[in-house]
Amino acid sequence: MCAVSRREFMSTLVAAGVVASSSGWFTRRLLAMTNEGTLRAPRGPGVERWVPTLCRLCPAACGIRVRLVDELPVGLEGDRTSPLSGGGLCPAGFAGLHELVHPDRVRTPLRREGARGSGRWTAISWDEALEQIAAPLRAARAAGRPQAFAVLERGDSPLTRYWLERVLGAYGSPNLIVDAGSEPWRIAWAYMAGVARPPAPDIANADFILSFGHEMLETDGHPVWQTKNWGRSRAPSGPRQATAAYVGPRMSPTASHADLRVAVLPGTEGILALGLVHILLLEDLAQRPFLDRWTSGFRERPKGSNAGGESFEAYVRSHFGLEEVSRLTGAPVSEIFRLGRAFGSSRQPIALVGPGALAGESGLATAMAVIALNLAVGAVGRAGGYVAAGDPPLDLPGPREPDATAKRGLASARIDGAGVATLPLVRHSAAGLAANLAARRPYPLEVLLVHGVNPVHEWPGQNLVEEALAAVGLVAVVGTVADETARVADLILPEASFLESWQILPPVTGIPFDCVGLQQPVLEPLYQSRAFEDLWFDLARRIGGPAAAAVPAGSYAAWLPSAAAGLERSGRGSISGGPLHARIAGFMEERGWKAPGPQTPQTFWDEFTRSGSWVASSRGEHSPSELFGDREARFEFWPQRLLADAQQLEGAPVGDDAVYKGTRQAAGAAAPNERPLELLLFDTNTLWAGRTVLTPVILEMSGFREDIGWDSWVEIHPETARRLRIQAGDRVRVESATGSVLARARIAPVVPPGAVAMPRGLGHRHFGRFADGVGVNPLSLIPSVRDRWTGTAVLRTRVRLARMQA
Amino acid sequence: MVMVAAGVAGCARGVPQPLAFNHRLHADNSVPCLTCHATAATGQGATLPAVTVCRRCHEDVLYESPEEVKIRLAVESGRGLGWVPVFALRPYVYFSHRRHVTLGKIACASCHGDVERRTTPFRLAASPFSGLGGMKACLRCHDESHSAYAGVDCVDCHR
Amino acid sequence: MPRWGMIIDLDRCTGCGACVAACKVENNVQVVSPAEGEKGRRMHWLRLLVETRGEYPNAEFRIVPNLCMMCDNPPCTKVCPVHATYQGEDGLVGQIYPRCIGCRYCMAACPFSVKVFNWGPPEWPDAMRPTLNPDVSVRQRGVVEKCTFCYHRLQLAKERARAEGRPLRESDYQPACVHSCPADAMTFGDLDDPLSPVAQLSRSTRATRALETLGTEPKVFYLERRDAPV
Repeated sequence: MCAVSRREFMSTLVAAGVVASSSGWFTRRLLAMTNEGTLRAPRGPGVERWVPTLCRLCPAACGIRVRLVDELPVGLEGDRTSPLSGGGLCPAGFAGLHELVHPDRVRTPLRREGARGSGRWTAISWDEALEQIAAPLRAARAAGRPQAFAVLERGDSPLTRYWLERVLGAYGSPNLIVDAGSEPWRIAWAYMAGVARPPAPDIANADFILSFGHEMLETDGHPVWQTKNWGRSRAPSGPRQATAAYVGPRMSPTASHADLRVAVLPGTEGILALGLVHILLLEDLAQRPFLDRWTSGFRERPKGSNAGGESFEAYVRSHFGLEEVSRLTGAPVSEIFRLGRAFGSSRQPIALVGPGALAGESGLATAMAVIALNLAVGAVGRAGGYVAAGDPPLDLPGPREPDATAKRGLASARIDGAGVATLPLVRHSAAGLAANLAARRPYPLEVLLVHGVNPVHEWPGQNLVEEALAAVGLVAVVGTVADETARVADLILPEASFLESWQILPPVTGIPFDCVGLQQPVLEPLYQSRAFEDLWFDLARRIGGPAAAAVPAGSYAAWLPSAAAGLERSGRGSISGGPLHARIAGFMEERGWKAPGPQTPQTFWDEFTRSGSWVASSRGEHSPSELFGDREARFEFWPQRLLADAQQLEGAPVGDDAVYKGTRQAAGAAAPNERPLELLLFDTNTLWAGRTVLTPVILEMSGFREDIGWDSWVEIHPETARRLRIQAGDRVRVESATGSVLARARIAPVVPPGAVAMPRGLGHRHFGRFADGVGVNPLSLIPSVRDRWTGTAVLRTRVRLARMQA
Repeated sequence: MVMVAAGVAGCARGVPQPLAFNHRLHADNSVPCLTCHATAATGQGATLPAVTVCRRCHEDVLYESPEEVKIRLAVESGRGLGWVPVFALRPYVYFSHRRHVTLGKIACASCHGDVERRTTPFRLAASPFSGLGGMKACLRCHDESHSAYAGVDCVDCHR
Repeated sequence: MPRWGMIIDLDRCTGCGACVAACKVENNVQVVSPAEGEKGRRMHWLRLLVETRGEYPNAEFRIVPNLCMMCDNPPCTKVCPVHATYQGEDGLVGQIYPRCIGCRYCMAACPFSVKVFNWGPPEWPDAMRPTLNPDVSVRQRGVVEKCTFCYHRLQLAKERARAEGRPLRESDYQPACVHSCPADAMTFGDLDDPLSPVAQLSRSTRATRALETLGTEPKVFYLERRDAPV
């Protein structure tokens, strides 16, 4: 009878009048402490343990160490021994634990009751949930329609992708749609160099880093690794090791910290790149020996190709005159000159391009123009240039021969139209998926599994996306917290957070050396959540037949050590002890030394789990040939294959200069008077385009540099604001052809007078209690338009502003 | 002390404990404090021992006592004994047993008093640091005359 | 006794905000509701002061991380009526929450505006409570709080060093913000040790302190941003 909780105890005090008779202020404090929970349950002995693992909130996968006190995760920090992040982390990373303990985590598999989107769910068992997906899949395959199954995946884990592809291949569906948004860059390299994977920029050794909208200090590439290098290049004393320059329409934090910046009109980055090539020619700064040895089409067209066409050199001279470039991009000739000279006269310059610059109609052309600029300074296959991307030697099961049903399924056109409605080298077209599904083209989809992507929120043309999902027989969404897409799905499956599951992560973003991080759980999955890979293995087993045979017995975690065994057997690399260790080990390895490592796969795995990462040296001497392997090849300024493919796609001969002319599409677009402003979207390292589960610390920091919390804002040039009588902090209606949103005005000279900019990531309607209703989603302003050649969404539109009465 | 007084008023004997634990019996059998409160030597908290700690000695029947049967039942059920902690450190205090016990070589009794003579389990806070005047007890050692080894800077202990 | 100090290299700082988030999470700093935030009651022990200068396209953010300067001659301690904020033996300015009566004199006295007041009770969803840092108390409503240079880390580091029978090394103790910085713009250590990086950097020609003329003798030094070499 005497078991009283602390709260009851305090109530007893109150009842007894003890509190009332004590001095007022002090007792109020005391009460506040109990009611507000500042008194906590007694803890254990306070035993501390650190687990090295990976942050998986963005594809960069920084190494982190999670602090457990009495086995409860209570903190995390960057892992100093991580060869990439070296102890650094972005702000979102620090809120990593909050995803783990998010109060709105999906706890059990849920089945929809009532109409789609009605929001009524019933908890079911995993068996029931998996069977609900597997049953139609078995039927579809039996009916000879295995292609009616598609998986939409975020694609930030190569191993997850491998298993998705493997099982889908055995089952017979070509439809793994990865929404990574880097297709223009990938196919540009595929056409110009014939490589399957784009090479990686060796920015650590570059002495001039020119970013075309590449937000290297914010969200693009591997931001933490890039920021580490940025810091390293600016030692407290002595000269700077690298100059940073930025080209783009919005003066982002990266631009603001650059030593040189050139503003260009939205979408004209590629034109400026070719303008810079022109300056290299004028100033005789082009790397002629490199161009002569490793490229074709620069000085003259190769024999046998479209005879009579201009050489690249002549083409740039005649079509990208500086006055012309200046007119199209809006950048003064003197600025272009200054940048071109500085770039060309550096020892090891490199040019990078970010997804923002590639998300227009001219993505492919822009990517190719930037590659051409890199080629012109010989920034390929040398230190500080583009070098072959790391490809760690993991042990993966060999390919399987598909059966007859699977072969027929795999031969059918992809549901997203990639490679058919686009250039043939395009592999994924998330933007094409929505349009095709809605039109039930080229065939109806029976089952769609969505993992790590939230199309309803992230993709433009949201009505179309919802319509598209409605046309699918069964939509199953896997996630930690149910999002907008889950709301209109049929099944929601609880995913274990990255702190509860295993993974081996080669870097997905271009890293110029081989390294692998290990993600290991810091605690058992909460509730009934499961790792996505385990769910996938179980689904494959339940489908049965070749799909079941494609996965190993046992759990994903049980399989991983065998994949890691390849690292040890390769005879290269070592368990990482940090960036310095990586450098020393690399230095020794190049000279034929190998640190005595663990001997057996088991000891290797033990050490791997203790350290959290494995790293091999980069190849010491670089050569452009490392991109080509055994092939005798050159970088093509006029890729013959592209011309042929484009001609086939257009169904009519394309001009000889169709390749680079594309850079001009954006510049030519006329500005209708009623919507005079271009809308620019940008990402921040707190919101990450809404892909991280937004938790209070991060939402409060949504605009931490702008002094804005829990809200969206629209950046307006002071001149535009003056004209429209908008003042800082005003509520402003941003209106496009497809919708309108209200946002807070931020007046700053970071956008040109003809444009406004808004951050992506907020405006969630169903994404947990914290994020719901916070800010607005600028993607609702953008119509669903995709670039025909690359199949990527065009994230641009025009808007007008109106001030709301207070 | 106000709290304790009120506690007594509201519920005369404090909170009931699951087992009629006898400290004296253990001490008389030469079981040192750290045998059961092992983390006092190595960690911040001294903690109440898990039933598995009890089992180390009480695996075989030592006494024909209903209390000892409770240990075996608790082990079998896997749920533990369910001691009710009667003292929680204030969250704004950094106190480490290791610092006092192992590094400072301070006897348990210096702070906890005559626990060795106690024959019943604690139903009220066992520490001189409980209640509102708790810091006074700290200051018995943490004063200027002992400052060579007992810090007197507020932030040595407050957090 | 070490004299702990911090150097922030503004030439390296990219304003990424990692320190802000790291501090917030490490120290269980309350997240106030959006409505409270609008009243200017957002709580940060470390924030970024941002100034946007210049015209498009040469607009520049000048970003200065702002935290407790741990003055050698702190104005805040002198006005505290209850000795809740005081200067400790090792020169750090402590803030003892149970003593604080919430009068906010110290906030008014601080020329750097780095102290914050708890206007409301700390609110965390129950599920998130267990991940709070157990080394730092959750402050109740009505007290002033501020950056402590993560003093709780020093408490643990001192004990660990003693347990291992060795003197405290500079590398044993680092505040969360310093550890978090991806650009390595922050350096922390003993200003009195002539060989330590902080002492050397504090003598750099670029080194400056905020509002130096006030004579508060901050132990946070800023290295000024350098102009572009191009």
